[in-house]
Amino acid sequence: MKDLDTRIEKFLLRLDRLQEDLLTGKLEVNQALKQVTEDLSVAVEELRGSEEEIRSIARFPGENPNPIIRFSREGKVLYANTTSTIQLAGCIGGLGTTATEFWRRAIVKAFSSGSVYETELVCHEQTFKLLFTPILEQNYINVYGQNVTESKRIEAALRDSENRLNRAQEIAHLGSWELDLTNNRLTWSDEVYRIFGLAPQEFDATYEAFLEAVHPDDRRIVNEAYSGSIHQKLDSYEVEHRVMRKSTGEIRFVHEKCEHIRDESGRIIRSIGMVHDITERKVAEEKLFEAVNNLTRSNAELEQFAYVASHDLQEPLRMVSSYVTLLARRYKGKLDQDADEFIHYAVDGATRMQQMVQDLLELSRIQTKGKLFAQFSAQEALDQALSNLTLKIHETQTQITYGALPQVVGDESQFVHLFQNLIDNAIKYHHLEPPRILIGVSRKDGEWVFSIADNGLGLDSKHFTRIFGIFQQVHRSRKNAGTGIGLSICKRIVERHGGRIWVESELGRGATFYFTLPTN
Amino acid sequence: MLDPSKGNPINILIVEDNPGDVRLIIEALREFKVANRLHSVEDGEEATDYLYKRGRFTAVPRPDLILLDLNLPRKDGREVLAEIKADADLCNIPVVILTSSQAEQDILKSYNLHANCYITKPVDLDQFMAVIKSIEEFWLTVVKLP
Repeated sequence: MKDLDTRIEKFLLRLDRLQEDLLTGKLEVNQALKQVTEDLSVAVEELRGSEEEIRSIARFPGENPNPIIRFSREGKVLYANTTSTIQLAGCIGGLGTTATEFWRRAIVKAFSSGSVYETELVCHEQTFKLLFTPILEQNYINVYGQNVTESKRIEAALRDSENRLNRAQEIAHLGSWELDLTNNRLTWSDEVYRIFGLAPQEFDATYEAFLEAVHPDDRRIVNEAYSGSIHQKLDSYEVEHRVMRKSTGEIRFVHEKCEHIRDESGRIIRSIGMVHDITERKVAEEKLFEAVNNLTRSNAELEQFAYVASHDLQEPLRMVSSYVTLLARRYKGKLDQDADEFIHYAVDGATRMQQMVQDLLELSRIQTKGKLFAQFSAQEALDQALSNLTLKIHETQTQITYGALPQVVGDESQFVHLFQNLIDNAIKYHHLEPPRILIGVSRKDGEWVFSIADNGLGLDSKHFTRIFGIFQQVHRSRKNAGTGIGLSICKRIVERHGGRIWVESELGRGATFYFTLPTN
Repeated sequence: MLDPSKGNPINILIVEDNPGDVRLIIEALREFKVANRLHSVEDGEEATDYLYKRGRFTAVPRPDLILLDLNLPRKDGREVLAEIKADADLCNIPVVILTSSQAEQDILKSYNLHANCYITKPVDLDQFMAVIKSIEEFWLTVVKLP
């Protein structure tokens, strides 16, 4: 507009000069008229152009895709652009009418402060940000609006996911941090603050604040882990250390993991890491460790007890057994029939108890008095066991079949015992026919699986586990008097070698005992 | 010095704190072919007193064979053995360790101390008798003693 004013001024000046020239006779009327006509036509042209320009400018708010509205100070709608009539239809009021209370209040606030007042309006489920801009000297107010529905939604979604991440970090006790090396800015997630015993975002994160949270004795290793990863050009590092909470003095255990992000030249531009509070796990681990230690100790004590008990029981038992035997030797047939019978039972009981105590002693010695593991031939161990049982095998006409057995690692003498016990069992619990025993081995999943199958009495599946317990016998009879410890000994031996032992059988159809031994 | 064929009874010293075992040994030795005289003491102190003829043992005969238990009250059988073998006068007497200990270190220690024989007391009476008999045969008939 200023441009137009100066041009009019110039034109008026020109007219003044023409008038002067006419008066002084410098110019004739004809000439003057001609000049004026020319000037006028130029001016009209220019005015036309200016009008077009003004119209175009006046269209500007109307063409704005954002709502623009002008109110009088009293709240009358003076102007509303097309966008606002469409998007805010029904939310403002028609041209010339007074706007609703919402607008009037905002107008009062803007005028009373004399500056821009910002507020939000929800209209037809769309959110608009509105800037009330009062033009004090004109007594009206321009309102510039912007539909912010989408950006609000995105913002809310972002906040929501941030909250969720925050909550997840809190639940997992897993904080995250990021160091931007281009500006040396360090940020911690809320959980990092919590792990360090601080209020979330209590102060801006710094490496110094971090080091201060680290337990004094662990600062060196933490520092070395970080600087070491940079010097050695590693992409990541991990370190476990303690954190000492300043406010309470509480000690927490954390596991830290960090990754470096490099630019094309290989320079680290960012380090991102996580701090995992593993105190609960550590405490649980320690408890477990302690429990295992206690168990191991009490097991050893029990074994020691069993050893001492059975060892010390042997002495008085030897006396009982020796003297009742001596009684039997000297006085059998010399006293009455009752005496003979009593002595017989005393001798029998003492003998069985001696066998039990000996077996118990042996059981207690498997772990503590076992030999160091070495390589040996399972075949030779079996041969030795068979040779120890020669008499029994011969007496019972037992038929034993076996293939070649492998080289294994373990305690050979215990293996001899294992075979001997299992074969002895198979012979002891035979059926009507003479016992037939098949000994085999196969290799499966890194283990040797040995099997000792017989055609004996067999047993019901309900006894499959029980028979490996101490003093558990399925077939109790005078003839087969065992101590009930033999299979416990077998189980102990197998377990000492890291294997398993079990039985498969059907009553009356023989039984197969299996035991495994790791191949390496 | 010792000749069983001449009918001189041989003297055997039993160092054993368990009277049950002493009696068993006596019972077993009853069936000996060789005439023997048994002397028994209950602990290590008495054993050395006997050997050095101290106190109530001034008039006892020198034993031709000693059966020594290892676990004894007052003075341990291992100490008694060490003393006997360190004494120029006594070291010639054969000592048979007769014990219920099966611990390897006991066996090794006893042989290191020059025990002449180490026997674990058998749990079975017949075996016990057999062991005592074999001691008799071995020490009194096979071995030529100095």
